[in-house]
Amino acid sequence: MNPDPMDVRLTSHALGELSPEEARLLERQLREDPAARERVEETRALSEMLIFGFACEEAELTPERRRQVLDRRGSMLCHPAREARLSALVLGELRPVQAAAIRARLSTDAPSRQLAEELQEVAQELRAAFATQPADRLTSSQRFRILNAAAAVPPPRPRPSRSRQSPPGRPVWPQRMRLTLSAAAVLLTGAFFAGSQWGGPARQQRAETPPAAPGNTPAGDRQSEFARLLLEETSRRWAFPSLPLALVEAEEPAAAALEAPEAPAQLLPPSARPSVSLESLQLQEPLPMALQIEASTRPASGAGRYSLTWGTQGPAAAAGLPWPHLTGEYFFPAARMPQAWMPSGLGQDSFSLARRCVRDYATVPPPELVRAEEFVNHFDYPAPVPQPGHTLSLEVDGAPCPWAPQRALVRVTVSAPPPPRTQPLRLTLVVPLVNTWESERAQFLLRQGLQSLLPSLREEDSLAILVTGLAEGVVLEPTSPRDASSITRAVEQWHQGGRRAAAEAPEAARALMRSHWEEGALNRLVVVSDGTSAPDGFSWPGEAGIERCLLHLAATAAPSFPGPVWQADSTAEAARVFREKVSRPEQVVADRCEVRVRFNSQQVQSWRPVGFDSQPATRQAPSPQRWLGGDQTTVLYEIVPAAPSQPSGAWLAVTAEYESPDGRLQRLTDEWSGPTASLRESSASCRLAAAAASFALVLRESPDSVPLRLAQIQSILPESPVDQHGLDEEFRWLLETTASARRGRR
Amino acid sequence: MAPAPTSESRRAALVRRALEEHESGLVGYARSLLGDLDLAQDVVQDTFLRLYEQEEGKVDESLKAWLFTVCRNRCLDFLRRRRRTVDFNEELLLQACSPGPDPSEAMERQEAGSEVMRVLERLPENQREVIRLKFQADLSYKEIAAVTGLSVSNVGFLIHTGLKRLRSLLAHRRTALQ
Repeated sequence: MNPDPMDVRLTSHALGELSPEEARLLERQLREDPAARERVEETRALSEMLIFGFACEEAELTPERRRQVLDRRGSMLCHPAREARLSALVLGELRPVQAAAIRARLSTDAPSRQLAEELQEVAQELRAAFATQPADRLTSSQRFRILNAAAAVPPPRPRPSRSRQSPPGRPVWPQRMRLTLSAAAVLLTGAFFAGSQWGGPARQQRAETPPAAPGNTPAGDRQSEFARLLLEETSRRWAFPSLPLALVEAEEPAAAALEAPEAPAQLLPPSARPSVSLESLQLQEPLPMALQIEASTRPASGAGRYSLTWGTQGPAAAAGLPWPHLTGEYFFPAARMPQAWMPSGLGQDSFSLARRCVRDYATVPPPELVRAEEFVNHFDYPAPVPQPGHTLSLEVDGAPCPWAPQRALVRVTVSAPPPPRTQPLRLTLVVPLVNTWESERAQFLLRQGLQSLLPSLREEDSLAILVTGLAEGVVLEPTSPRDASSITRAVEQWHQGGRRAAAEAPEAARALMRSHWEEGALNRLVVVSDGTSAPDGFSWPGEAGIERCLLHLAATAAPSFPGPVWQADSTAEAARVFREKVSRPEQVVADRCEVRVRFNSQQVQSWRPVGFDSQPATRQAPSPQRWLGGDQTTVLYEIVPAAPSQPSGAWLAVTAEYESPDGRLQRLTDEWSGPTASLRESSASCRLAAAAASFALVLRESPDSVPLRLAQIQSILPESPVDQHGLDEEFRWLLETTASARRGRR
Repeated sequence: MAPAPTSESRRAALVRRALEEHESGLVGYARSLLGDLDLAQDVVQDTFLRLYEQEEGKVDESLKAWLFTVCRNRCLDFLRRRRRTVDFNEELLLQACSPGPDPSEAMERQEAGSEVMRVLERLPENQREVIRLKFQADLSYKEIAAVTGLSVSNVGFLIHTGLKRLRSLLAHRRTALQ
């Protein structure tokens, strides 16, 4: 609706917005129209009230801000585009004339000068940060493919302008190449004995000139180029014993460090000059390649022989796990490398696989399957209560190393205690039985897990169970834990009846879940899988308020599922999952967490993490870690003490920095001042972790494990259980059974 | 008299030079866009292979900008495709295979460096990208403009805003930790 033109004129008149001529004419009209005159007066009164009201508002700047504004009069900071030139200036992006003009201006513009100085500092920090980042590179096979693709990629053809590029041709790759790289041995050994020749200038030269190859044939070029790339790649990916030292040092200007007097004897005896050879190399299509490297040191060194298997061959590949296998000994000198960064969220597949080998196949697991760090993290260690205001706790302790008593073993455990559940639980278990469920073990684990869950349920909770497929449908309508006998009866007595098809499971589960759904409760639907198939049909779009989880029993690799996935392959694991996962909400308690361990070179000569010697091809950059309640990570560090004449201060300090759920930055620190006199005097958690690591080294056939016997490892274990779910009891059984399997193998 | 280099050998030399000079910068840049080292390596490999298809002399002058432009476009293509088809199994497989960064790698990251990098991750994506191109890949404003399709002044503005924000975040973080 358009406003009345007369109204508009009256308002304008009241606000003094009419021209003098218009105002005079309107005044004449108003004399004849009292109502209009009154409206003008009202508008004027309203206008005065508004002016008064706005004047009363506290709309003034603070004195400090007023001062800043006044200081910036005429400053470059008053104009965004001019201000941006300050960054261009400090980054060298301006032409000399422009730069000179701005510099002259800065001499009289203090705020801009200050900002420019601060920008300069940030730029320097950024440059330093990027410079210290490990360089991301292509893999050796990719570089090799690129450098050798010249012949395979068709030369560019004149194209009409604006046409799209055609996809690049793929290089022709031999179906199968089997190369024996004696050339690599020559290259490496020669390179190593060249000593300080491996400095910066030599490296520059290498970059432009391909290394010499025997026979100077194209094939020789290819071999030697491949060897060079391969060595770069391996040295980049793994830090490892005499072989890697030779390789790593070959990459660095400080090649002489190996023989420098301060080089720790544990790294390599000064007399030892490693001769490294690639004894066999296989290159297959399709990539990735499979390769084996055998390296040995000179006999005079007394050091051993090391091997690395990487790729798709061997027992690891047979198990479907392309993990590299590395044995050997390596340490990081604390003087040069004083800091370690602690990972989180380590897997547990390795322990499960090893247990499955021993338990189900009565065989010792192949070394490739064993990861010491995952063995250590298989257990839950009792954690101290977090300090006030903290959501994480930190524990550091240590003892003499079981496999090398002159060294120390330090345990660092970071824990996030599970938050208490405040809301009632509405739990629906769906068990879609398929043929493989005829295996009794999965059903047994499920029943055991449920039995362990019942005592932790509260009166206001409710539980329902649906069994589909080969069995009978709803076996437990929503039931309170008070009716324990009904629950137990349902759990113990469901049987195969074949009345409901497995395909109906999702809809039937949804209906059952909704029958006892409650707003504000933890409404959780847990699909129980037997480890052989991924349950389908549980991705309901738009279903709010129901959390869907997958529990994977009697299996070691979980399928995909649109929600949390847990797995359990033993009674103790089933108890842990049901008590710790099934009935507790997933809640972030710490974000952007980083845990650093800093070694004091006065006390620590060298160190290494126990395990972490099997890295997959995928390397992710450290990213800020997020911790859920109930998470825990333990890392063991093996330490070679410094000479006793120099002790000073703590051996190491651990710092954890994170953001708590309320967004505050938190910092936790702890120090460790040396090992106990003997392993038996150390904490029960430390002994359990040490036993787990020792067992892994034995299974891995590590040279470190030579002095260890399985019976000795059993004696390391603490007398009373540490893990509340009984995982350490299971571990004790595994040790005994493995000893039997080893005897049988002999 | 040495024979004149063939077109093929000139292209091979160009690719070798590009690889030596820009491999690390390109993989780091692609990784920052894709968030995954393996994918980044694949994209960068493809970028270098595409270089063989270029006529010498056409890209020689602006080699760096050409490489980063092609790399960026390939990354964006991938991200667009991935939005359409998410291979959940593959994601899970990668997660299952990854034990997280190892201490030896992390040890190389100096404390101060990692602090700046962490704070950098809190900038908006467009500011982060131009800062990476400037400081990690050492591209000029003009080259960054060519790579990203932004104007030079826009690039300057984004970098300036990003640096100012970094300065303020670092100061805030350091004050909080004290």
